[in-house]
Amino acid sequence: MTRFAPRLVLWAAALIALATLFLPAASHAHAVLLGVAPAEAALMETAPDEVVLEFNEPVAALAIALIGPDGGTTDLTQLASGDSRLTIALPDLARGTQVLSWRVASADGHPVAGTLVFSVGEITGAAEVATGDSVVAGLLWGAKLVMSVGLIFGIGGGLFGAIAGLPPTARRMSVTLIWTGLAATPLALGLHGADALGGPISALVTAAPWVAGWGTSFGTMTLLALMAGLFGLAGLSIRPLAMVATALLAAAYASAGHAGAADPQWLTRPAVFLHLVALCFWLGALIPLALWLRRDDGTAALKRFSDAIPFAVIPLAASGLALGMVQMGGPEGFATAYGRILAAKLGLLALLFVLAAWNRWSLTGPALQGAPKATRRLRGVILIEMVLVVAILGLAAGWRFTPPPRALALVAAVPAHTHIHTAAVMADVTVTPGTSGPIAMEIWLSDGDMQPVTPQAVTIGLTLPERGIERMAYEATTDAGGLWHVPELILPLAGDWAIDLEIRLTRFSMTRIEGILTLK
Amino acid sequence: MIRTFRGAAVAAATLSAFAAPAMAHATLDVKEAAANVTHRIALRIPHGCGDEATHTVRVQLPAGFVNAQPMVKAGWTTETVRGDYAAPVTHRDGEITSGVTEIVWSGGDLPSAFYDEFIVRGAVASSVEPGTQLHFLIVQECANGEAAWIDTSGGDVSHPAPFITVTPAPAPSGH
Repeated sequence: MTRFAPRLVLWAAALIALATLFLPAASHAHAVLLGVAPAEAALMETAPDEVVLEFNEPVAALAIALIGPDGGTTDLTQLASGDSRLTIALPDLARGTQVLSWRVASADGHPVAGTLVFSVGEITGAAEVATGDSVVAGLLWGAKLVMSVGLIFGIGGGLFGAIAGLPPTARRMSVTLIWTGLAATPLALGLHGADALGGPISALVTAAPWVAGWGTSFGTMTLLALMAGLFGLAGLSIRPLAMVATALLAAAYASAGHAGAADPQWLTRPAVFLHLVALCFWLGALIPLALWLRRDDGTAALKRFSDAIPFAVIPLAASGLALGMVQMGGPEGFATAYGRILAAKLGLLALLFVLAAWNRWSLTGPALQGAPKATRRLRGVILIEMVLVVAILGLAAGWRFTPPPRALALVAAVPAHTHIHTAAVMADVTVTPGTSGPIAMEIWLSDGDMQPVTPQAVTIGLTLPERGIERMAYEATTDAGGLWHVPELILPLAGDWAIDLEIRLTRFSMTRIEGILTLK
Repeated sequence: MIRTFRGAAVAAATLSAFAAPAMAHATLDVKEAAANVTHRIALRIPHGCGDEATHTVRVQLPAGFVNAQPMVKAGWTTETVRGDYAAPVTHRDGEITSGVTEIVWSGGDLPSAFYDEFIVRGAVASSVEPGTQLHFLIVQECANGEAAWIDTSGGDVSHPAPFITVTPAPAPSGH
């Protein structure tokens, strides 16, 4: 059916390869916000000139907006500069609560977003901040699934053909699959950008999401995947090119995503590469095999597949195990959304391996002997395997939306701060860790001129109004250094806790200061 | 998020304004007091520090409350603390710069389950503007703790300081 000139395809691939030179260099892991200035929920007397966001790695600003006390939005994306220390110049701020909504791309291409709330002069209301569009997220998931299924099955089909030959129907299906994957790939890029910017689906008609998507490591991945698809088409005619296509596709997946970006990279990138090569071989074989088994002359292909498959399954399992261990950080990682997806994937994989084992040890032998019943069963099992594989790829595409536990662990180690500033007293409150659960609190108090104050007593009150949690009060104790401590308290939920400090300056004078402490 | 929080806080404050049992706080038996008039004010102590008995009651008098005298109380040692006012107070035709600023009743035993009143007599200075809130800062001391009614923020707080609102001085009676 589809005719294509291999030479034309090669030219296209060469052009795309050239374009990769203009991509920003991708580097390390999932970005984590380490600190902000002014502090989250700070109440300041005078408006700051700038906001500083500190990350654990260089990031690129995608969308930064300031929502003022009146609900008006100012786009500050162009005013952001710096890499791992992102400085955002601020315009003149009105009195009241400001919401700085930010979204940056980390080196692994995934957007990291957050909101900084601070107030100038007084705490007023603030407008709600929009989050990502679920339609965009759903379509992105779909596009990535179609891209994975199309390219892995299609290119893998070509790879199988290079080893064991392809029946004509299988060749036509590979062509269709690769074209489908090629069509979904750029769409995934645009959707990735739209999701990164937090824009609606209609934003795809503008350049912004495409530029944003291109600016992330997903840009590299898209180019490599497109090249892989074109080589895959050529590889259906010129066998060695099928191997090149497989390598390109594996490189595409290794260049972006959570796994390829995790440390240690000498382990993770080759592991993703190996995982994908093995996956291409195994999955690519399923359609051609099912079709060969309908024919009388198909046993030679089955023999070759069955000889070669251990060389695919062992690296697949080994690389998957290594990546899982790096990403999960430990068995407790299974409690996260990322861990639940991995658990579901492992469950389906176990089922798949059982089927594959049945295939190999019970059905392959009789089928090679020419037993029609075993051959029919083998075809049926291969169909079930394909369904399982698509489900597994769908789960893997869902990882896009969940940070892996290793990144969450970094967040957990970061303390939460709040700075409360009034004319009479300033307080710096630090809780470690900055997450829900048991925490330790430390408070530094000073007067308006930064001189230490020595109150008689400090009482801390905490409420979580959004969850209906009433005020919990704790007496702080002081040490020789003038710090006030609550060594152990339990804040059961993540969220914006309203914190108040009742500072007993003298017997008859007490000042109360209030702020917000955000626990992740 | 913050808006929700504020809404909830306002709702909670409104609810508790109706629901809070007024007797739970230390209060004054007088809510309004005319300037240029001498008043007898009772500090009402409804309970101890948590469950503990109160042995000492201290009150810091507001600026503008002059010529103050405590009423002696059987079973308690009554003392006053005199000092200079933070700012001179004009009362009738003169200026007052110092006086009783604090009254201490100590050595008593007021179990938490019991109620008692501590009486102060004094004048609201003639120069105090009508509408001014004069806060009486009360600290109850117990064996292992205290209850400090010193919060003047006016919000829905756990330990508000009781106050009187000053009303205009009565018209001269014409004699």
